[in-house]
Amino acid sequence: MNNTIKTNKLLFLCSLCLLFFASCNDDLEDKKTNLWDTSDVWTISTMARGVLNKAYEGMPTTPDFYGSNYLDAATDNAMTTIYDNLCYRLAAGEMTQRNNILGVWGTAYEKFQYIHQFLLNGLGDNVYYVRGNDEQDLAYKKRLEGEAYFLRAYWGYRLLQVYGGKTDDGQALGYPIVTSFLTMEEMEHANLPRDTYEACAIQIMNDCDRATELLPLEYKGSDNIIGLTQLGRASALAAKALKTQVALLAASPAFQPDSIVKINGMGDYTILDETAYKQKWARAAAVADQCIKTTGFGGVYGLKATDLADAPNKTPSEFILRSYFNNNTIEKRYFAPFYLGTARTVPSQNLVDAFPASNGFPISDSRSNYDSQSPYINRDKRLDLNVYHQGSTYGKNGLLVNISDDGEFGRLFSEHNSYTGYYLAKGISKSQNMLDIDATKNAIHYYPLLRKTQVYLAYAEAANEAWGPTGKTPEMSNTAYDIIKSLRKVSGGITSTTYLDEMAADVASFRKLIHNERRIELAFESSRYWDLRRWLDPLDESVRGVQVNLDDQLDTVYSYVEVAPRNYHAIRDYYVPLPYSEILKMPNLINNLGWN
Amino acid sequence: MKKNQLYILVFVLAALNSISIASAQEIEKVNLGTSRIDTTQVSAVSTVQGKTLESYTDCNLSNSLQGQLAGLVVRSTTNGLGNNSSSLYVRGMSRNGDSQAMVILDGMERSMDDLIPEEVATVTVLKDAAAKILYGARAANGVIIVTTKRGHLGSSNTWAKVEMGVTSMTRTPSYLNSFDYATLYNEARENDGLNPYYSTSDLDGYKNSKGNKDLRYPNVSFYDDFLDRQSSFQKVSLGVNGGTERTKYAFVANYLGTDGFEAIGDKPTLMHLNIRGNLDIKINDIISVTGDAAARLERRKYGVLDCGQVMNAITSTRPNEYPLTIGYEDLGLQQSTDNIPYFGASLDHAANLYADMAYSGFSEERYIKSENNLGVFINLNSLADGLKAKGVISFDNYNYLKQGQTNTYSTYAIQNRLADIPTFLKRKKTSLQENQSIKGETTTRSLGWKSAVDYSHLFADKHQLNASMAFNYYHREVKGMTQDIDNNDVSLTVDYGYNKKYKLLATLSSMGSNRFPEADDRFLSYATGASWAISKEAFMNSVQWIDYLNLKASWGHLGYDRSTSALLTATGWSQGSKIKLGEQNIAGDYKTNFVRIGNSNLDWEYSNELNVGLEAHLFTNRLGIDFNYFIENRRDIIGSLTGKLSTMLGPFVYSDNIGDIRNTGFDVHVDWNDKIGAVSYRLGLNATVSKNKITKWAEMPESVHALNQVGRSSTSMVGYKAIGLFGKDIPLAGSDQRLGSYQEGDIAYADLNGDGYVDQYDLMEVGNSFPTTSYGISVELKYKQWELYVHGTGEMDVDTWANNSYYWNRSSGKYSTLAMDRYHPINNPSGTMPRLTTTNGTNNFRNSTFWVKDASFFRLKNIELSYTFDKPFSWVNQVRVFTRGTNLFVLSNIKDLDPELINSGISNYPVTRNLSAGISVVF
Repeated sequence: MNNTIKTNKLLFLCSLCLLFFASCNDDLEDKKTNLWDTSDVWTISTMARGVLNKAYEGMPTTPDFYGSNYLDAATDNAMTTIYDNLCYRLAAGEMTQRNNILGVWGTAYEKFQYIHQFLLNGLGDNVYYVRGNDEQDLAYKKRLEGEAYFLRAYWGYRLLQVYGGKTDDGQALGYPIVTSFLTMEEMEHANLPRDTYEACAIQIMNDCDRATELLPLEYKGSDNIIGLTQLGRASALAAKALKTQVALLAASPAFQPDSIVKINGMGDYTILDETAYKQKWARAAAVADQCIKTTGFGGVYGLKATDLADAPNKTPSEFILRSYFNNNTIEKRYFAPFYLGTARTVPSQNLVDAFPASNGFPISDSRSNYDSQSPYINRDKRLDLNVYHQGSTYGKNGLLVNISDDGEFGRLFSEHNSYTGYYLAKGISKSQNMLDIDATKNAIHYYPLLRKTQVYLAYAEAANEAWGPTGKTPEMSNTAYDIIKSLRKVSGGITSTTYLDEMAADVASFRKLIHNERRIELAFESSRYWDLRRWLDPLDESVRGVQVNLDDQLDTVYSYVEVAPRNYHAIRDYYVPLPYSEILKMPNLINNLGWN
Repeated sequence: MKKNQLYILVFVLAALNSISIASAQEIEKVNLGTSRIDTTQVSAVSTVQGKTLESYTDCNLSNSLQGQLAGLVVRSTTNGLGNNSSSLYVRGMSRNGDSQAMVILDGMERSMDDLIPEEVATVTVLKDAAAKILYGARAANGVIIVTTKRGHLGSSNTWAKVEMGVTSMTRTPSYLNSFDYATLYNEARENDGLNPYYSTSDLDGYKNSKGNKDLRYPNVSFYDDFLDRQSSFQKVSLGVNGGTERTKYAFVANYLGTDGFEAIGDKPTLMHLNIRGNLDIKINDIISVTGDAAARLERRKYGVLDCGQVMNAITSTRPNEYPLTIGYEDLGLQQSTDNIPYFGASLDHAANLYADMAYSGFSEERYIKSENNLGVFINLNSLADGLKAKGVISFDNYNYLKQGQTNTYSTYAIQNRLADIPTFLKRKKTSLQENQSIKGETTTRSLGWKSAVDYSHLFADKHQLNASMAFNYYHREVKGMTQDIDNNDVSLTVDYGYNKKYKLLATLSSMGSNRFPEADDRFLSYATGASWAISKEAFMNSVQWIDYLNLKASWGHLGYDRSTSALLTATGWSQGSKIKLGEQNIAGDYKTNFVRIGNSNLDWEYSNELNVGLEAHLFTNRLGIDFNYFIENRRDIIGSLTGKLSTMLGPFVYSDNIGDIRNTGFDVHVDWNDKIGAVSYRLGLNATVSKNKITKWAEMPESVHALNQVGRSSTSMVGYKAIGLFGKDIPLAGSDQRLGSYQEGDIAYADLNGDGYVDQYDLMEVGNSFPTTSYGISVELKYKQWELYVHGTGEMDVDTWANNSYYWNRSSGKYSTLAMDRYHPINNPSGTMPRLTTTNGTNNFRNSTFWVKDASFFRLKNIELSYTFDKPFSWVNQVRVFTRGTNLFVLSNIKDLDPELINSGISNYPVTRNLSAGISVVF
């Protein structure tokens, strides 16, 4: 009896323990996720490729990629009234050590990490891009490797463009060159210094050369690996063109050490070592010449409105690396408010004045026959490509632009109407009613990241500095004069060479002409901001605008006013500060001139 | 019958005292066994009875807890109709980031918000480590235990209650009319060197505006035209409660309905239905079972725009933006036969709020939530005296669905503002959606399991030994890719009491979490405490005025995983979007994103906590005091190392244990109750004082204190020191300020580091956004059948940014009446606000002392007056009539908006006041 009770008790206790501990078995598992293990990434070709593709992310795909605005709006070419936009803030002088508005540091180094992961793991025998065909697999890997070097060059170029600069002690520095994957362990105590500007330029140019060897010249034909379906990837031609841009930067006066070029003040510098200086320009010219000599490169091209917007299905031959978009985003941002846009960036009087008369003379020259009563007639045809002005037809067949106080494009019509009296035309569709709610339409756009004219302009600028307007070495195929002449003809419609010949008399006046050609040819292609800086030109010219009134005789009277300051008054405004947080972590990073 | 001493219910100190103090293991209210008052206390715990909360009618239970419990800081929020549940902090901010307390409702982690006070028995706050340790790895921020009412022995008791009331807006912002707006906008243009935008004839037009339908010169007062100042609510509840030795039951049902403030279109409505049944069955002397089932339904209907969208449109659309409607003759269209008007718009602004609210369709959200507990309780006295076991399983389901239909009606903008005869441009196209569509769906499931074996015995009438071994499991999953929450813990608690004088307690808990990989998924937490009831000592017998005096202290080490993201220890990649390739982007190729490096050495975040307390009942139990001092050291907070490592690493950085925070303070509850003649009364005060400081963080030392986290409170506010307005207080000449362009009338800042100019190195701490002190005061009076209850709450030493659109009048935004107070050397030389500008005013509109307001306040939160009829009829036991009010007034330095919720009435609904009356009957 007692025993039974004891047994019962025991059984009970046992079952109790069972109940208790049955519930104790660990059930702390994770849900399956859509995360991939590292080993999967490096065996599955789509994933492995994707690591490299990641480095394309962040490359500009629209012309207004500076906070949805044109970087030109931070220069004397244009302005914006989007007050929280980075271009507005730049021009207002809001760049500080702790608030680098143009910062690209994190993005670029992140891309380096992806590229180096790929170079380390993505090209071995662990992964097949074409299974069962070793020859094709090798071709695939070759292309990928070439892309990797191009992308490393591209992000190096962006770093150099933004952060490259002189230091307080007269060095010209770039960024810390990184050629392998960085691990947390090595970065924990790392104190990387900046490499010299020249070393960075050489590193990037070498990467361009390696890419050139590995990549197809262009993507065409029906090949799966290097055919037209891969258009948009880095090509050998793109690598060559990128190299010209780097060589141009590296030759520019702003990026020479004190032993070669000394800055005296804004817009004022002295060349101390003429030979070394000219050598860099000669190198830049040679690099550009190499690119120009590429088979099928073609002559100097005249950009048409329809190359950029309302464009054909096939990429214009001018564009070496481009993006394609078929929408109306740009129009929503830059159409005049009357046509339901918000006119985020508007061109300046300063830019308009830079377009010469159709006979080639600048409008300040009396021989230009410039008529202040009808300022927009007989001008370089690029004016109308870039700008809507008083009297233009808006779009294909819209209203005539009237910027007077009672006009639809004037300052009193809408709070968003242009403060300068001009509206942006370049790169924007001509279907002026495309945003109408009843007829919303898209337009095909191309945005060239690299185009052939950039290469020609780089050559002209470098050749002029190295050998003068009409000089060259025997290996070169053109002189600076040849190129500027063709460009003014095909792009500007200027056939007369009177003024050109006059300017070709000496390097300095031809330099001025080339700089102006670059300004008007590459307007609204994010070029002016960096060009002014590398040339050490004055940066603080205020943006002017035009106003239109009727006088007593009801004639149109144009008057000009300053509408926005350009608060770049110090030498330090030639350069961009390094990220302060990086300097805190790595004190070996010497900051640019004036940013300490 | 033997006394059961486990699962003991806990208690009220004095008859009218609604606050009691319970010991840790006694909190869980499972009604096996009899109750007793345990006088030896170790832990820091506060309790409020559900009954006390009944006088505060609100859609969210959490709102009624403000100022009710020492140690619980309840911070209100701004949100739409019935969505404004409070944030709950136990003893302030114990960490940075998520510091909110965990809520346990009837044994499992659940939201308390849609409960009604009538179904709540008690709400208890666990504050110290010895109490929190029993609730696992999610409990270190503090635990709020809500238990619902269970049946009690005795004859069945049925009650019903009806309450009706009005909800009205309290403080709301005021805005300028079209004429004043246009005049000041012209001034802003002039300040910026631009010509006036509105001509004199425009201004005349606005002056003589015919109102909100004036075609050329509309003047829409959005706040008045689109909102009612009042809405109503109704609440009906009933309950049955009773039981026999064998079966006890409690049943509650409740309906709560309320409307929104929107005056145009269908009023938003909110309908809540609660049903709960709790059942206890004693099967035999050994086995008892409990079964609880609760269901809640909510249905919410509104227009296409939700409350927040409506409020934002109201507080951001300028009065002259568009006429609400345009006559068909003006448009040159035919009169519509459906009586739907043509709507106005502007070139900038295609939407018309009137069209959106009145004619645009509807949204409907509904959810059903079910919460269930099943428990088995086994009395094992036959095995060993005082031995018990239990197992409770809990399972919840939550299903949410949002449906809607959207219609768009054409809007028209005047296309030629400057011409005499208007022409129009269509800005929106009519599109009537025929089908309803599903706009959102969520399903959530929770599962909980608890089992415990408890032993309790009194040896030799002196030595009380309690021991408990418990296992808890909690699982929560959301439909979709979100990681589940999985936690379990096994704990062993032993406490020993000697002669009700001394008590020692120790708990060991092994906590498990799926946030960590298997090798590291358990954390050993421990807590220990002791108390000494001094008043029981012989030498205290002579001190007459002390009825009870107890000293206590506890210390613990608790793991915490609730703020730890899932999978931090797993390296992973994910597939991204495609890069675009080929002519016309016909082809593409995927990108691969790196997600994270797993940190296999990641440790648990944990908290080391000390609590020292004193409890006293004095003057024949008339005065009750409970005081607790605490130090919480939160260690190994998990975060990114990017503050320490170069950004050159890109995403190839792991999360690590990067921070420590120390939070110290005290909470106190004082209670006095007495009688004067026929009036009995009670006065109560509770307060929580806390302040935290970040003692370690992954960051580089900066030259300016305010730029670092370490050394500051996690809620400290950083900004510039404003010293006046240029031109008015400070001369413009000679200043050097690098925070954006500035001119006369803009804010001047102090150059704190004396380097000659103002930049980011002149930042300083300008305030603290979390109250150092929050408190509640209550008064209860009882005279014959009359009862009066008054409750006030407040916060002290707290600041807020006055940086919403009401304060920041700039660019092309709407102007509030504060714009009238702008500085202008000629038009308003005595103005105190910065000059007006059409730009963003980067110099002015940034964090600085100019925009810091002292947000300390005292609010009369709740008042209730009632009269009770006892046995008015033979079949009615009691009838009680009452009238109530909430948020009757608030005292603060901030006068125009609510100090506690400065964005209320702007980003969403204003703070509301309820006035109601009702009757309750007990049969």
